[in-house]
Amino acid sequence: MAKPKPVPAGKLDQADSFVEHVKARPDALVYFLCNVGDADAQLVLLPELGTPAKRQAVIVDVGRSDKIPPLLQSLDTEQLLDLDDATTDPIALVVATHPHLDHVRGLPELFALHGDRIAEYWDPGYYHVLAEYHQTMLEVESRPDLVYAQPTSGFRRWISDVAITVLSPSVQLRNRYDSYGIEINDSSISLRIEFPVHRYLEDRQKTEEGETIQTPPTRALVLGADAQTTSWSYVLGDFPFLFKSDTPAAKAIAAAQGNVDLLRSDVLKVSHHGSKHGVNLELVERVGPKVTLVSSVGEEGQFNFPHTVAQELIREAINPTEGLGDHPLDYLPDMNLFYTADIDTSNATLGTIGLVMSVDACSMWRFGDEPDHVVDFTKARRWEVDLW
Amino acid sequence: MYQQRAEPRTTDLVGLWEPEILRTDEKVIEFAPEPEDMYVVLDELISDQVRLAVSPWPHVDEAGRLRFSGSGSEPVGFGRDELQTELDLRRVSEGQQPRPLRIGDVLMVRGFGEKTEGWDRVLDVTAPARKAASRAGLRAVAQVDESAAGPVGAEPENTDAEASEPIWRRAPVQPTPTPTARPPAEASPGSVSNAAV
Repeated sequence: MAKPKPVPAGKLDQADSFVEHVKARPDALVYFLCNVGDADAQLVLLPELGTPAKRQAVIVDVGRSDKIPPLLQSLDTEQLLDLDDATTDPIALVVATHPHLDHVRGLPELFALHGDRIAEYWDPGYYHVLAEYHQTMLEVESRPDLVYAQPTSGFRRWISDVAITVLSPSVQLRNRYDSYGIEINDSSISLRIEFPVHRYLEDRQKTEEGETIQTPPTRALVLGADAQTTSWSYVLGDFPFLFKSDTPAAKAIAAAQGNVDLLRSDVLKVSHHGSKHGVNLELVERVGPKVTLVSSVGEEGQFNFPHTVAQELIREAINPTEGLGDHPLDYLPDMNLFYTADIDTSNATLGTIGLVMSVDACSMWRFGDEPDHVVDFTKARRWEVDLW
Repeated sequence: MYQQRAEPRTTDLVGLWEPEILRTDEKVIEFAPEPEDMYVVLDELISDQVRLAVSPWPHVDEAGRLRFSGSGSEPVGFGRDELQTELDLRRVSEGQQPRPLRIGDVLMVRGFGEKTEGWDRVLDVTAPARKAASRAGLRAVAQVDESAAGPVGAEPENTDAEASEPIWRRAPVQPTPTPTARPPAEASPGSVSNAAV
C-alpha cells in the first residue's frame, strides 16, 4: 500500500462559495464522493429540470449513518434540493451496490428518515445475513409504493436529463448467486451515468439521405462499486468495443456501434477502494477517465487499501510509460487521481470530493471532513483549475 | 399512485430468535438465547484479514422475520488465522464441523469481545441464518403467502400449487365491460401482398 502523496496546499482555494457556484450552474450535475474511510457513500445531484426548476438526488451506497443524511439536509437548507417537494420525489433513486457492511451501513436509517421521499430502490438481489440487510428489506416491505428492482448489465434508466446504465452485475453472474459460488463483491451494481441526454428532433429528409444525426455532447461517470476482476471481465464482454483499423470491415463494425465506446467516461470512481482485485489495466484504458477517484483510508486501513499494484496500473493506464521505466508514486497533478483520504502539504484533511460537472467545465471541491464529520459547504476549497 | 407490492402485514415480536442448530450427527444442540448474545457475521475476508459485523442477537416476529435493534452492526477486525483456529476448536467442542472461513458465516457468540479468549460460547448458526436472509429478501418483494410458511429454519411443506399461489400475483377483479355492438364488417379488399387475407 502506498499512502497518497500530499497535495500542494496552494492548489486549493477557499475564496469561492460552493453553494453559489452550484446555483450558477443549473445545467451541472454535482457528484459527491463522501469521505467515509474504507467504505462508499456517494450522492449525485441531478441537473435542474422542469418548471419551476428543481433538482433530484441519486444516492449510491450510504457507508455510515452520519454522512448522507446530514448532506441531504445541508442541500435542502441551501435550497439546492427540496426535501419537502410534494410534486417530485426529491430522492429519485437509492442504489445499494451490494450488501457489504461498508456499503449498506446506515441504509436502514436513511430509509427511516427519508423513506417517503425515495422513489426507487435497487440492490443486486444478493441476500446477505447482515443485520442491515434484514432491516433494509423490512423497510422495502413496509413501503409498497417504493419501486424495487434488481437490475443487471445493460439495464438503462432515464431520470431527469440523465441516463443511468447498469454495467454490472452481468445477468450471467446474477443467475448464479444462490450459492457461495459468486463472491459478494462481484454482485456489485456498477453504473455509468451520462448527461445531458436531451431529446432531439430528426430532420427526416436529411437522415433519409444518409446524413449523420448530430447528438449533443455529453459527459459521463463510471461508479465502480466493489466489482472485482470476474465481474469486470463480464462487463468488457457485455459492452464490447472493437478498435477500428482502416479496413472496410473494421470501419463497418465500428460504424454499426456508432463509433462509441460504451464504457468511455470522463470520471471513474475506482472500485473496491483501490483494491488490487477491483481494477485492471484494460478496464481503465477502456474508460479513459479525465478524473479518477478512490474512496479509501490513507494508510491505516485493515485491508491496506489502496493497494500499490492498483495505484500503479491506474497510473499506467492514464499515463503509459511504454517501457520507459518505473512510474514515480509521487503526486502527479496532470493525472487527476484523487483520494478521499488525501491530505495537503500542511497536513489538512481534504475529505469529501465534490465535482460540479457540466459539458464545458468541471470544478473540483474538497470539504475538509473526516469520516465521522459532516460535509460543511462553508469549508469547501476549490481546486485551482477546472478538470476540463 | 403506482403500488408495486401489497400492503405489508404488521406482526408482533415473539421473542429472541431460537434457530435449530444441528451437530454433525444431526442431533439438536441445546441453545437458549440471551439478550446479551451477539450475532456475528463474517462480512469480508481479504488475504489474512477478516471483518466481522457484530450486532445484538435478533428477535423474531410472528412471520418468522429476524428483527434487529436499530443500532445495526459494528465492524470488528480480526486476523484470519487467529479466528480460524479459534472457530475450529469451538466447532469441535459443540459437535459441529470445522471448515474454512467463508463470507456469510454467522456465529452466536456469548461474551463477545475483541479477544477470542474471552468468548464464553460460540455456535455456528450459518445454515438457519442464510435461510432467514433468503426469506427476508423474498418476503419483502414477493409477499409470500404466510399461511403456507412454517417457522424459520423449517423446510416448507409440500403444498399444492393452487393453495400456495402468492396472493400478490392475482390481478384485481375488474368489472366486465359490457360489449358494444360492432357494426357489420365490410367486405375486405384483401392484402396486396397476400390476397388470401
